[in-house]
Amino acid sequence: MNSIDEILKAALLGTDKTPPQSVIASLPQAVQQELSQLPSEDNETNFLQLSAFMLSYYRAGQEFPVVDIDTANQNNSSEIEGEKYASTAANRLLRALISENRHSLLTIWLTHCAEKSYKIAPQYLPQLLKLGEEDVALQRQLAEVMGERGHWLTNLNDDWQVLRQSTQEIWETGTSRQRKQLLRHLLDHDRAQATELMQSTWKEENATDRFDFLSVWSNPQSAEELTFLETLLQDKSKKVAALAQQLLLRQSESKLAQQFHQQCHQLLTLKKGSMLGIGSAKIEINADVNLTTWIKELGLEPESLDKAFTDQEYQAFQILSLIQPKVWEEQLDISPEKILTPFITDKSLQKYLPAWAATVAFHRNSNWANAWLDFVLASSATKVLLNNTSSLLPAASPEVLVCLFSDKQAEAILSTNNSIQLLEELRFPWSLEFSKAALHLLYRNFADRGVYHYETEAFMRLAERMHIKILAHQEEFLPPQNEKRDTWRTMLRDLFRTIELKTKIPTSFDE
Amino acid sequence: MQWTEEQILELAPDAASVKAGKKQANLSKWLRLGATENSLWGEVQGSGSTPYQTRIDLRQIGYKCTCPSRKFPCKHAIGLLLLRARSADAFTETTPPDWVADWLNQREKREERKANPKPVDEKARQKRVASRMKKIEGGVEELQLWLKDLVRDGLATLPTRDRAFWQNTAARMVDAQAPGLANFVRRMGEINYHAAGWEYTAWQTLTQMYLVTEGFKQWESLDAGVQEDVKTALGWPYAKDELHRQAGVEDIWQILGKQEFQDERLTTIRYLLKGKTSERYALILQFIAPGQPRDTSLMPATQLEATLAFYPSNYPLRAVVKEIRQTHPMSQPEGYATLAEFEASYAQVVSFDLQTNQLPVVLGTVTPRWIGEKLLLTDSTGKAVTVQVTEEGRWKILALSGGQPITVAGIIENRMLHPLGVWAFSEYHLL
Repeated sequence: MNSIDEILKAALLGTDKTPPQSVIASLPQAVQQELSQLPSEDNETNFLQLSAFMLSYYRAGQEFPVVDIDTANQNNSSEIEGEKYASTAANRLLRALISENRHSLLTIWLTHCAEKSYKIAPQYLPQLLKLGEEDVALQRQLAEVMGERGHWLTNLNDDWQVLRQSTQEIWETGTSRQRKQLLRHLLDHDRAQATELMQSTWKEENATDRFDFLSVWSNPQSAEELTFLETLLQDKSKKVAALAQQLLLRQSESKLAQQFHQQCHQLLTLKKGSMLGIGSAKIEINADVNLTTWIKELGLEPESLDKAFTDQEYQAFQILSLIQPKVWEEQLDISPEKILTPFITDKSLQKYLPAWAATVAFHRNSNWANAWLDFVLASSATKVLLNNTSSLLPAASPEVLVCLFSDKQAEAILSTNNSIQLLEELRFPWSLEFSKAALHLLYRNFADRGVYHYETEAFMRLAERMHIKILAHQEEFLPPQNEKRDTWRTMLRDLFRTIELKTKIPTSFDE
Repeated sequence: MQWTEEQILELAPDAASVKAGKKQANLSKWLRLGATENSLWGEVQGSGSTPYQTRIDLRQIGYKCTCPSRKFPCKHAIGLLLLRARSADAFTETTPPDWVADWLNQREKREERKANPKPVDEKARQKRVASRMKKIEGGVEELQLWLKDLVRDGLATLPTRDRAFWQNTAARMVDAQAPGLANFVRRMGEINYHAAGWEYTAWQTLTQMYLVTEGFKQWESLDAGVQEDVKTALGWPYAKDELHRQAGVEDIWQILGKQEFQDERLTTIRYLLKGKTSERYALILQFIAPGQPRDTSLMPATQLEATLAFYPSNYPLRAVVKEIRQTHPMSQPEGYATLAEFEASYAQVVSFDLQTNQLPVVLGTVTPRWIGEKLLLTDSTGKAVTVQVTEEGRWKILALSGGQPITVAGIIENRMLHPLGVWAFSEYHLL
C-alpha cells in the first residue's frame, strides 16, 4: 500500500483513532526526516501539516506510465508518402458538405475525387467513414479514395472493417441490408458483376433475400439475363416466382410475355365503321373471352372485388392492366390517342380507364403516357382521368411534363403530398426549362404551407437534379416582399445553396 | 487573414445565430460589400425601410451593425464574414465609407485609453486592504478550527453531513470576505460521496484549504508570487486596473483552443494560449451572463500579435488581453519534446501551487496509439498519457497522425490529457 493510501485510511478514521505519528512511521525515510522538522502541535494540526506536505510530494512526484512500444506498435503506422490530396478549395467544399449535412452531394464530390486520382485528406476521413457505416454505396466510393491512411484507420475500428473487404467478401458475409445496397450500387456501376454475384449464391439464399434481390435487380438486359429470369418461374417461393412473372411480362421478348399477349389479344377488338362510312370505328372489350388459365397462372382474382364489374369483366380489367400498350397499337393498328379516346368518352368503357393507367405505369410506356396527358391538358379531362394520372407521370416525356406543371390541372394531379416524391422519380437529365417548371410546381404547392421537417431531406435531394443555370433564377421563386412565407424562403435558399455547392464541386478540384 | 467557415461559425453566440447567419450569407441580400485588409463592411436589406450597415474590424475582431438585434455578433455580421469566406470577389469596394472609417477610429482611440488607465488613490486602497485583511484573519482562524474538528472526527463522517453543515460554514467565510474559502467549503459539500475515490478528493480539498489558511497566517514569509496565489485562493479580486498598469507580455500568442462550460447563471469560456517567443502559457477566462454579448476577439486556431497582462502568481497563468495589434494565421506550436520534460516542469509548478489541477500543455512529438480501447499519446521513451476526448476527436487525432508523431495541444488534469488541437499537414486542427 502506498503512502497516500495510509494517509487516506488515517484521515477516514480521524486523529482520535489514528494519531499522525502512526502514519508518519509508515512513510519513506526522507519524508519522515522532513516532517520531523515541523513544529509539533496537537494531533489535528500535525495531521494537517503532514497532509499538506504529502499532497505536494505526491502531486509533484506523479509520473506517466511507460508502455511497451513494441506492443504498442502492433497497429504499425500509415505511410502516406506520395498521396495526392484534393485542392484547398475542394477540401473547403467537402468540409461544408459535411458540416452543413449536404450528404447527397458527397457522392458527386467523391466521384470527382476518384476521377482526378486524389485521396481524401486525413482530417475528413473519420466523419466520412462514420457516414458510410450504414451506406454500402458510400463505402464503395470511399474505399476508392480513402488512401493508405483510410486503410490504416479502418483497421482500428470494427465498424469500418467492411471498407477493407472486397465486393465478393461483402456479398458473402454482409447482412441482408448491406448486400441489397451493394447489389443496387453495382447495378449502377457494373451490372455484369452484380448479376454474376447474385447468380453465384442464388441457390443458397433464403426466399426473403431472393425476393429482395430480384426486386432490386428487376429488368433483365440481355438474353442470358432473360433466360435466368425465366428459370425463376419455377422458384420454390411463390412470391419469387410471381415477381419473376411480373418482370417477364414487361419483357416483350420473353416467352411468357409472348404467350400472354398471343392469347389475350382477343380481349380488345376494333369494330370498323359502316360500309357507307357512317359512324366511326369502335373499340369493344370482349369480356367473354376465356381468361381463366392466365388468371390462375398469374395469381389474379377470378371473382370481382368491385360491384361495377361482373366476374368476367373484372378478369378482363386485370388482364388489361398487364398487356403491353404497344401490343394494342399493333393489334388494332391505330394510335394510342385513338385507343384511349373511347375509354374516356364512352361511359361503358370508362370503368376500364384505371387499367390503362396501370399498364402505362407498369410498362413505362412514354407514348401512351404522353397521349394520356394530352387528354388531361385538353379541357375535356374527366375526374377518372385526373384521378389516375399521377401513377403514369414517371413514364411521360419532359416536354409534356413541363406543360402539365404549368397547367391548372396540375393542382388536381400533383398534390403537396406527392409532388416531391414524383419529382424524385424523374430520372432523366433536367433541362433548365424543366427545372424551372419543377420549381414553379413546388412553389405552388409549398410556398403557403411550407416544407415539413420530414420532407426536407427529399426536397434537398432535388438539388442534385436541378440544372445549374437555375441559380440565376432564384428571385423568380421568392414570394413577394409583402408576403412572409418564411419557411419557403428558408427552404428555397437552402436548396439554392445546395445547387451552388454542387456547381462548385467540379471546378474546385482544379483551383 | 482568411477565416474558415468553421472558425466564423464559432463566433456565433448560439445555434440559432449560426442558422440565421448562414441565411445572411447570400449575395442577393447585400446591397453593397467592401473590404480592406483590416475591415469588412456591407449594407443589407432587413425588415426596416433603410438597409442595415454592418462593419467588422478584422485586426482586433469587433463588429457593429445598425440592426436592432441584441445578439452579438448579429446574424448580419456572421453572414458578412461567411460571404467573405465564400465569395471574396463580391467585395468590390476598397475604400471604407465614413460610417466604417469613423467606427474604426473610435475603436483605435478606445484601445489607447485602455492602455493608459486613470491613476488610483493609493491611500484609500491601502485602507481597504487593511480592513479586509482583518476580516479574513477572523475567517481563517474559524476555518482552521473547523478543519481540525473534521480531522479529529475523521472523513468517514462527511457523507452523513447535511447541506446546512456546508452552507453555514461557507456563509461565514463569505462574511469574512474570503469567498475563495467559501468555494472550497462548497466544493467539499458537492463531492459525490457515493462515487469511488471520494476519499482522495475530500482529503485533497481539505488539505488545500489548510494550505491556504496557513499561507495567509505566514503571509510575511511567503514569496510575492505565492502571496498572490494565497490571495487568489482566498477570493481576493485582483483589480483589472492593476493588470493594465503592468507592462504586460508582448508576443505572438497562439490560441490553442477553448473550452466552454455552462451553468444556470453563467457561461464560462476558457481560452488557452501559448506565446511563441516567451513560450509562456496563458489562460484567459470570459464570464458571460445570459443576454450579455460575447467578446469574440479570441479566435481559436489563429495567433494574435498582442500584449497580455498576467495575474500575479507563483505560476502566472491567468491573463487578460491588454492590447491586440493583429490577428495572423496559426503556425506550428512548439512544445515539450518528451513527457518527462513536462513532468519536471509540472512538478515545479505544483510543488508551490495551492490549487492548480489543470495545466495547459503542448506535446511536441507524441504518437497517438489506440491500445485496449484507449487512446494513448506516447513519447520517444515510451511514456504515455491517456487522452480523454470525444469519439469524433479520437478518430480525428488518429487520422491526422496515421500512427506517426504529431504535435498535440491540450490540458492535463489528473495525468489525463484533454486535447484541444493537433498540428498536422501544416495546419492546426481544432478538436
